This record gives sequence, C-alpha cells and structure tokens, in this order.
Amino acid sequence: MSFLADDVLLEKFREESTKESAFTEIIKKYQERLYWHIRRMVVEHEDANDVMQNVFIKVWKGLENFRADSQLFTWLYRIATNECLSFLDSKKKKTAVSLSDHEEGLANKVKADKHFDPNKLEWKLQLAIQKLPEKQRLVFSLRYYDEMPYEEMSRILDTSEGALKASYHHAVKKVEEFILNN
Amino acid sequence: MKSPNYIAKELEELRSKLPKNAPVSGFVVEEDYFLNFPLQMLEKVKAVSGSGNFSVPPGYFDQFPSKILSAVKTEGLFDSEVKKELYEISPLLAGMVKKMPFSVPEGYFNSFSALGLFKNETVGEETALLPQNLKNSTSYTLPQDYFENFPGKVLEKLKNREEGKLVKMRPFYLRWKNLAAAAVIIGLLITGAWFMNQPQAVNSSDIGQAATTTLDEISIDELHAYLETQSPAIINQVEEAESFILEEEDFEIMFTNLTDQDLQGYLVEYVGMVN
Repeated sequence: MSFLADDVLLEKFREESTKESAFTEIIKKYQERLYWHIRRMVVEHEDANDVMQNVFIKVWKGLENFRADSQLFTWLYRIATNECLSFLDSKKKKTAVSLSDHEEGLANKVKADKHFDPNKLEWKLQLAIQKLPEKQRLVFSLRYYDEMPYEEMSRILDTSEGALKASYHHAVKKVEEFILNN
Repeated sequence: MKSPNYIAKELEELRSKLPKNAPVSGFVVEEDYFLNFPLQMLEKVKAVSGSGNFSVPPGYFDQFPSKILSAVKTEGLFDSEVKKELYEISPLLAGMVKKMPFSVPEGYFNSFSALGLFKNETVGEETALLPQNLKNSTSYTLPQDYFENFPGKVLEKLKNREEGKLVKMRPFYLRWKNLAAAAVIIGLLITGAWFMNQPQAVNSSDIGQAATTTLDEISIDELHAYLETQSPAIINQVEEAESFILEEEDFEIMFTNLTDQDLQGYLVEYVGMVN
C-alpha cells in the first residue's frame, strides 16, 4: 500500500477541506509501526489501544504547528513514547506499586497471554525484555526490533547517543543473562 | 714448462741458502682462532641478513586460507550496523531467532498479507546466525478490523469532544462575602476613628447613626487615601470589592433565598439603619 509523502500530507492537513482525509491517511500510514512500538511497552492490546488513541488526538492538536524540523515519523514516535511513559507512570501511581513490582506486573501480563509457553526461547526473550527498566526497554525495543539509528533515537528520547549506546549494551547483557539463567 | 721435480729441487736449493731461524711476526693469535673462525663468521652473516629472527607457528600457512574464508563469510552476514553491534555485544542474542511468540489474528492486517509484511520488513537473508523474519512477526492478537476502524474512531472521538463547561472558580457566596467583609471593615475603621475622636461617651444606637453620617460626608478619594496607609491585605480586599461587578444574575442569586428579615437584620447590624 503506497502512501503520500509526509510533506504532501501535511499540506493537505492544513487545508480545511482535506484536513480529515489527510489525518486519516497519516493514521493509516503510521498506525502499525506506532502500535507495535507502544504494544511492546505496555504489553496488553487494550492498553495499547488507549495509548494509540491518546497519541493521535495529540497529533491532531499539534500537527498544525509541526514545523518539520524533524521527520514526521520521529515526531510521532516521540509523542507515542511520551504517552507510553505517561501511561505506565499513571498505572504505577494508581496501583501504588514499587518499580520492581511494576516490571514484574508487565512480565505477568506476558505470562497471561493465552499462547504463553515458558519453554520457548521467544517467550523467554519477551519476559527478559519486560524485566528491563523502562528506559532500557525503550532503547532495546527501538534498536533491536526497529533497528533505529542512534541519531534518530537520540532525537526521540532526548538522550545523548553515548548514553543510548551504553543503555543498549546493558540491556542486551541483561537479556542475555536472563535467557541463560532461565 | 719446467717439471714439478725441478721446482722442488729449486726450492731445496733456496732453503739451504736461507738462515736457519727465519724471522717471526710480532702478532699473537689465540689458540684455535682459525679453527673457530668460520663458524663465527657464519653466525654473523645470519644476523646481518635477518633470516631466522621471526618464527612462524607450525601449520600456519596450512590453516590460513580456511581462516580467511571463515572471516569473510562472517563479515558478509552483517548487512547492517545494528546486527554487527548485536553480534559484538551478545553472539547469543544475535544468533537467536527473532520470533515474536504471539499469533497473528486472521485479517489483522487489512491492507497487507501477513507474509507480505514480514517479507517487506525482512532485512538480509535468513541465516543460521542472524535470522530476521521472525523479528517482525506479530505475536499479540488484535480484534478483527482494528486498524481499519481505528481512524474513524479517533475522528469520532475528536468530534464528540465537548467543550468544558465554564465554571467560575469562586462561587458567588464567596465574592459576596468579600464585598460584605470590605464594607464591614471600612465601617468599623471609620466608626472607630470617629469614636476615638469623640471625647464624650455615646450610646451604641448613636454609633451606627454616626458611622453612617460620617461615611456620607467622606468622599471616595478620601477613603482611598486613608486605605493607602493601611495594610495591603485590607487594600486588596477593598480593591477586589471595588472591582467586583455585580451582574444581574448575581442579584437574582443574592436575593433569592434572602428574606426581608435577613435583610433588615443585616442593615441594622452593619449599617445601623433602623426603621
């Protein structure tokens, strides 16, 4: 499925007559990439759906002022990432759990999946990922699954490339250790 | 040519003519010098030419081609910086099949076939070390037609958003209370000042009358000038009371639940007006 270029979509969005259709196109163009990024952070589909809707409502409000200083996808990714973190923060506050309990909670959500099989390596990888601290989980997800360059990741997460490389290194080592010990 | 015998005979003749003790040179050579000399020279020659300084492990050249081949094959697998980086940090993870363990619901992707999407997202060929296709497989299940319906749902939600009802932060009774408080303070201050200036005792019924009379005589400018000497808290309250504009609806609310008795009581107590 081919989509219009970002600059064309932005121009259409700024026209009142084509605003809604352009917005729909933008959603269709990026929904899946953003969805999986969100889903890998929040695990459950219902939560991912909530975050997705919040993301695109923010996109609707902010797109008018988007100045294309960065790529559209980078901007969308940044909103999605911030919404994930806000969502996870609010979950923590609502349930009043400690950080480690929260990570345990996400691992439990993985285990709750109807297809979960603890003997399979791919499930262990998912469990290992959910055990990581939030920031490391983000970095690992972006680098391992999306193969995102550090430069782009730095713009999304507002962190230096050096720090991201170190974070990814630690994350990979932790995942490896978890898999070896389990 | 002379025969060798003749030469030998000639040498014999010459020897007989030479002195018995032939002269000896003054230089002394150590014993076995000339015996060891050839070996010494050989070693020196080897040192100068360099041969024999560097050693090569046994079998090195035999194994060299296979090592190079292996390295070339490994290098070719890293068609991205990310894969190479992962291999350097953790060969275990790099060698793992990147498989999302969750199944894809039927009809999940409406615009693409499930396999088509995986092929599009695959980077490089699948190898024993770095398989890529499973990384992009979707393992979480989704409701049917989720992505097809999603844009419509978002638009609907945007349209149905209601503007928040504008609610005044401060309820009317608090504003009316401030106005009343300001009036009370002004009345008390003026009454007190007047009272202080009056040497003779006055009864309480006269105080209210006097306050009212005094207030009537004092201009707004005089009041402002007086208040400027007072504490900021009082000034703020007065300014707030002054700037507060009662609207028609405020009057309606103000007097809805007030009885005549309440009004009279207020007037008697605070203003000193008596029927």
